[in-house]
Amino acid sequence: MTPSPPPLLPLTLAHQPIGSIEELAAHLQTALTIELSTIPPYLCALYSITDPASEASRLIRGVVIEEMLHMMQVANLMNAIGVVPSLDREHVPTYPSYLLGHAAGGPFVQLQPLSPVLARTVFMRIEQPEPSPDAPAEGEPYDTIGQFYKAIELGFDACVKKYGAKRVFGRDTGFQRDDTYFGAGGGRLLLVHDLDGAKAAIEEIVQQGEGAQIQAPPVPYEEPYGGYDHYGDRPDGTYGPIIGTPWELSHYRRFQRIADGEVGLPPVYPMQANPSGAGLDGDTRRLSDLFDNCYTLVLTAIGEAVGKPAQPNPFFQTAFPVMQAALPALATLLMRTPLNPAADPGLGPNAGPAFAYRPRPIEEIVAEAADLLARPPGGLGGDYRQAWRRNLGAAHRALAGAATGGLTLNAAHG
Amino acid sequence: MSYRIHPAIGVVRVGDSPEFYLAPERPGTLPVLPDGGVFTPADFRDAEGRLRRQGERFEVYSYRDDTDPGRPVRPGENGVERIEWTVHLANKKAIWYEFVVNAGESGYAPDHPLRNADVTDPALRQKMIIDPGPRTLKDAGESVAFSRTDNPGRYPMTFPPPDLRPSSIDSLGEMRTDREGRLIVLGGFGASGSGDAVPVVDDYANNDTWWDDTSDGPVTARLIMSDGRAVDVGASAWVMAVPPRYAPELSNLVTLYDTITDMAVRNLRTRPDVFHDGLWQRDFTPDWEGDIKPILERAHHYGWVVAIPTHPHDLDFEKLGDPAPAYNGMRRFYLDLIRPPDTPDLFASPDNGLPLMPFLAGDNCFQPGPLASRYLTLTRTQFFFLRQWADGNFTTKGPPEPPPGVRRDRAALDNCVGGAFSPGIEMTWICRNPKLYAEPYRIRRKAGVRPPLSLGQDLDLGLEPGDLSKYMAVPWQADFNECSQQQIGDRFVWWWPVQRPDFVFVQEADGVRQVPWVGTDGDQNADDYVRFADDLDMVAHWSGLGFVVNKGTGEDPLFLEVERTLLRDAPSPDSRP
Repeated sequence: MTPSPPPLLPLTLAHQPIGSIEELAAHLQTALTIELSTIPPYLCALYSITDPASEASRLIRGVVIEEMLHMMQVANLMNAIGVVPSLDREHVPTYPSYLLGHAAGGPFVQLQPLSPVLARTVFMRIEQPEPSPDAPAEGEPYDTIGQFYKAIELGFDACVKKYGAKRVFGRDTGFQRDDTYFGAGGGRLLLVHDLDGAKAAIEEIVQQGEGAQIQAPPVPYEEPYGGYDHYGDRPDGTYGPIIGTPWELSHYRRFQRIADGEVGLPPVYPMQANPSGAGLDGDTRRLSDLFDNCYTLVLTAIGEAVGKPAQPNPFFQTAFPVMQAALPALATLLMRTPLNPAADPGLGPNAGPAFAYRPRPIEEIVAEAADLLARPPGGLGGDYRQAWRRNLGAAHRALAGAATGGLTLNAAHG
Repeated sequence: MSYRIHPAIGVVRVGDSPEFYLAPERPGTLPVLPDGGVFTPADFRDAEGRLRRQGERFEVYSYRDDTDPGRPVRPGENGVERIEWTVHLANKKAIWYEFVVNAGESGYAPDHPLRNADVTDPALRQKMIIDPGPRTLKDAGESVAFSRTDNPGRYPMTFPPPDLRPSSIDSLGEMRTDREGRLIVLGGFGASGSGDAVPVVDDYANNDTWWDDTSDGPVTARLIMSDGRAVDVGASAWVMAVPPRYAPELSNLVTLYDTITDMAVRNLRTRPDVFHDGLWQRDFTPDWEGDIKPILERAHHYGWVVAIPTHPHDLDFEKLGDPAPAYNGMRRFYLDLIRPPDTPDLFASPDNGLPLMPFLAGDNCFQPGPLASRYLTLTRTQFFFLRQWADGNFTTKGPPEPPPGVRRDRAALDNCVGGAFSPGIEMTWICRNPKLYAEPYRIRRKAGVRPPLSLGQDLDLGLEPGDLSKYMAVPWQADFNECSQQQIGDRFVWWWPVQRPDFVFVQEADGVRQVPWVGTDGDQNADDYVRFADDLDMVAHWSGLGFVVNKGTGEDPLFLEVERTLLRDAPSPDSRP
């Protein structure tokens, strides 16, 4: 299987300031896609770690959950100005690819098992801080995501100045939500109703991840950030409550700790880079497609949750349980499946989650999971069969719950 | 007609003031003023700034039969002329076994050390028991102290030497009766001292030559009827005199009521609808308001007394309390974050790597081996309720209001720590022993206790005065100081932050700031950061520490530290890097 050639590098252009609500909406949709595009590579690295309780897992998991928060936050910004966010096929990233709209030179985003090089050359560059607090705002192409958000912030300023706050924020779709984030990370999901709210939402995204503007450890006491309510590395070498700072909590810094070896690299599954279902056959192909179906189901459910008056609640009904239980179970099962059945699964290369857009009705997904669950493959040993039953069992339970719960709820509300 | 004393186990708390207020009569509420007035934070201290003691008010209730909700017995009503109350407090800490984590819960090993082991003569050891003897009040409006000087019955009292350092112990408290025939018991003054010329506290639980003035013992009553008959109240009570509780409106994740309930459910067949024949009953439906929400609310509120990330503890109670299948995944997510009761040594979930809750220390985080249990877990009964809840098998109708006597029994125990027991604050792991009880929540009292009190014990015969507190740390301030945060590996977990806060919020001119409850603010390497550098400092300064009370509303709480009299060190601006 040959990876598809990377798309052409975009040209570097001078930034044209955002001057209309339509342009603002287009930039926000790009931001949504950028946020989404970081999640599969981070998830892939997370799932590749064999010990989910390891420190590296903890760091990456925190980042992924916050990226989800950012995605939902951008969706709120869009709904606030009357534009429904899209997670349809044309806005779902494929891999490998350059980060959407990024200036020449990358980062080139790939689905790979975790390694210090991946953390440095891809993840840290995604989360690259702005070169200075005075770095100019940039549309597409941008040098850092922080500068892209700066352009969006100026766009909000410009639109409010041009049209008045009422015309900018007076067309709220009613689909904003603040109830989908309950991870252990920092920040909050904010509802946006005015310019100050929009700026607060943008600040939270930028400060938390894509390039906190601080490039060096800040002075303790000078920049307290949330009191002692964050856990982190303490001066005495232990891990506990700290006066967290934007620097310590930023995604850039967390990946740097892995890249620099401050956090030991745990064993990872030998997953092939940028997996795809295309070259697979038999049950492995079905498993790969099933993962893609579930991933697409999650995106569709989130799209409904932020873009439709839906009942039952598609986020809690479908997106959350499938994301929590089915995706990791199927991804790690793929990562234990050697591409060549004769190969040792500890050596690989093994299959992996492709994160391809592959929609399928939920009833068919449940039936496919049930069918696969019932036929653990031979030839890969007892441990593999046991993992097959356990992981597909967990995935099937989550999917069946997502499918039947809704029917029950409809009946109850009928 | 049967008579019972409530609360079955009353809890009084030490203070260095002769004055007092009364124990809260509902879980997670402020104490009660003796005159019935509204308690304000200023009432924690007397006019001289000393910490008031917390008393407990005992009442006799009469019951016609098992279904009768009961009513208090009042002198002059229903043929009752007066009520005679008898209380016997003692402190046996100096002669009991050393507290060595959970070793001893299933019987002490032959090599388990005794405290003050160099005193081997049984007669001398008996003299190390603090035993003022029983006191009886025969009528309303009387009082008597458990002191060296107040000994109306000429009991052969035993007290420690009179010149302990830093504080001598002359009394374990007092008892008084009011006009309504009720009994108020008060505990000691928080006085702790050693017989050594230069007192040293070098262990969290066992310090030879030390005594403190905590205690426990039976509370019995006799009704004198108007026709002259005397009726002994069959269901006697017990009182525990224990350290203060500095955040009275908050609750521990596992309360003593929860722990004793779990013991009773599994051993005494008290809830066959929950558990019988060794099986958890999967058709049982716990109630959201009564059985589930309190557990989650306690976790939610811990952020007021420890430094924990606030966001993940900010729970969406509306969705979590909705039994709709749409939220099964969300409930399951939270269940998966909770450490199963039978894996007390597990830090993170092997499935998803998330740290398991609670982030609290367990019974034995010091000694590796088969008894290791480094992290606290919920009780099995609580965990069973949560499993049912996660599956959507729960009701939302709210629990029935319990009869008043039952409510008093529960409130007293719900305000105590139900784990971790290392050794704990009020009672240790012995509370999990079914032999301790005459009935759930009611201690089996040894009949015909004569001086001197026993150096040993036989749970089948019942407990003597001092048989609950003897397990606890001596002096209590040592354990109280050290049980702040616990380093396990490269992590910190907490002990019982409601009784003994670790971090609190203070109001300052420019807003609310979070600071360590005990020591120096800001410097995590200071030797008095979340605890005093020397346990002796806690012996001296415990009464100057602040209380944590809700200065906001029920809907929008703001728990702030109040009534601290101890100076708080802050790093000077010059020392900031």
